Amino acid sequence: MTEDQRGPANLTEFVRVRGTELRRYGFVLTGDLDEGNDLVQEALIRLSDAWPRVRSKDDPEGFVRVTMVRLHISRWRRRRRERLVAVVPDTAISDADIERLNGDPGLWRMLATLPPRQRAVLVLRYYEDLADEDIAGRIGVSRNTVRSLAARGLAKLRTQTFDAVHDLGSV
Amino acid sequence: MPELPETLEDRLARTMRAAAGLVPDENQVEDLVPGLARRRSRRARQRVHTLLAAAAVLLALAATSFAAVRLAARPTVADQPIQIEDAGPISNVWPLAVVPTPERSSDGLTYEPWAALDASHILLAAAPAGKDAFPVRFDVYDTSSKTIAPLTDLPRTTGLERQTLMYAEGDEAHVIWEVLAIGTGPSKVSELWTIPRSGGSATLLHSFRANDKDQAHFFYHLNGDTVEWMGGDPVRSPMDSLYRLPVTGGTPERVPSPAGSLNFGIPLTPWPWVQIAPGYFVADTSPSDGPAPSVTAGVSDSGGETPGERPEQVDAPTSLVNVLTGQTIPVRPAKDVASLYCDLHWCGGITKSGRPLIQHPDGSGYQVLPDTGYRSWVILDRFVALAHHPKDGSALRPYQLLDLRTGRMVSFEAESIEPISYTHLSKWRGEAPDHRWWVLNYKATE
Repeated sequence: MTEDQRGPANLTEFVRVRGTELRRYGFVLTGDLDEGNDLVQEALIRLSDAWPRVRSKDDPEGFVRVTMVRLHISRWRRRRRERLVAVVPDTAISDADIERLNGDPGLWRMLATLPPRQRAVLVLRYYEDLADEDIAGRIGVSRNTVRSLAARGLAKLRTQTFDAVHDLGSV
Repeated sequence: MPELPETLEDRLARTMRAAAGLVPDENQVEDLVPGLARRRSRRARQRVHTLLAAAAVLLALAATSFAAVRLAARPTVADQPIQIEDAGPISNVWPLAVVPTPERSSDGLTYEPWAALDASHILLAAAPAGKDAFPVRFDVYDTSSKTIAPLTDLPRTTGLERQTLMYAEGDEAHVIWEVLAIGTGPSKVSELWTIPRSGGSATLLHSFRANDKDQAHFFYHLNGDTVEWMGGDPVRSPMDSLYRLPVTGGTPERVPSPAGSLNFGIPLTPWPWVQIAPGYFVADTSPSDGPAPSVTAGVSDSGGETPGERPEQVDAPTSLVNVLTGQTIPVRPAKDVASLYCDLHWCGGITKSGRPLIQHPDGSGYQVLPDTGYRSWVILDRFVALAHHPKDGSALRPYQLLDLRTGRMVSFEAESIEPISYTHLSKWRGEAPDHRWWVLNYKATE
């Protein structure tokens, strides 16, 4: 198998081909464009360290995505002061932006209230469309834990959704 | 056939796809790859900054003086097992410790709690509605009388923009806060402000520009009449000194640390001790970054961040160091420890079998706590917080706080709490429908 058949020949090419998708994944994972970009960049740094080994496995993107979700989950240890070295956010997503693309802005906001692991599991399930077993491998927990995290995340979203609707007098 | 209503899961998938579609489909390889090169080349020092900056929020700095710290050799209960007593809800023991805070000011601003000033006063930042809006004012909420008093407007320096409130801390006499902003260049500017609790005008104490030499700075801490931080030359010797600045203003005094560079130092209780935790934030084993730490920390909950890392790594600091004296205490995780977070006298963590534990940094005093399904960490060298973390799908239970002084275990309902709080305050959003802020004021537990 040639290099071309296996995938991108170098890191630059990989980023060129997959950069946008990774930034989208970072945004859905974090809910913040700048944080998502930072997540991508940090994961790519690690990829560049391990590039020969990863490339031989034909799955650089898998490496980056696993690294991104684990970085994201571990963020609770980094606490808020990490923002000191991050760029001050200059972009904001409005409800109208989400609606324009057929999304539910209320649900998007509710996602932001979930703890990182619950959010990550839901992103992997419903955005990445992964099975629980694959999610377990990505974030390094058991399949039961994935189910538990997903159930708790969905339950919280359901509760909030119900309350929001109830407050509007629609129920 | 009637159309089935859309499930929450379907809406979720649809919404995530919509959100992803908002990321511009533009080729940013020119931004990303050179950015990677730059970041890699300066990663060693930048990582230090990142880690230390991230860690600064961990500052749970007791008002204990340095002299008192030196006298406090070991806890008197050193190796006696803690006799744990279930004291019920936290309100039974400390009625003012867990309280909701007001959501809005009378003039329509949105409140967010930032720091506990004393046992019954919480510093609130009042901001206009909107994501990441910069607060315009600090108010103080009296949790006893449930009244609010204005403290000060938050000034904005001319020529700076995109201000972000990064940190605030206070005591009975002063309040200090940090604002990060963008200046000309553009460059990041960090401003340190202060105001007396009695009121008056906010005073700009000091400002740092991101690329200034000798301006690396982390861990602001209000220590009586001085503000202190760790710093040093950002390139040659980051984090090798302690800086002191009178809270009334003046020139920072630099006190070089006998311990030399403390690149992986995370402030702990009491100040000016730090725990050296090379792997807490970055579990990178690149040879170019020097020898791997003797105790490597996995970063995620149950595995490293990078694929292929060993999930069984012990997540613990390697030593505790006094910044001013250089005194070093090696941390010796007990045999069964999977993760550990330490203050000077106590560490909290979990065993490899998932049980919460406590121990002293030297490995003595090891005790596995009776409950299962919890994670734990030490707070203010006095408490162990227990966060329920069921592995078996069982229902969530309230958070618990074990007072290591008395053995009393109290419980409280929280969405989440920070592992530690340099502000003497943990905060979280409450239940629907209002999702109001709740705080745990550690100063109300004295």
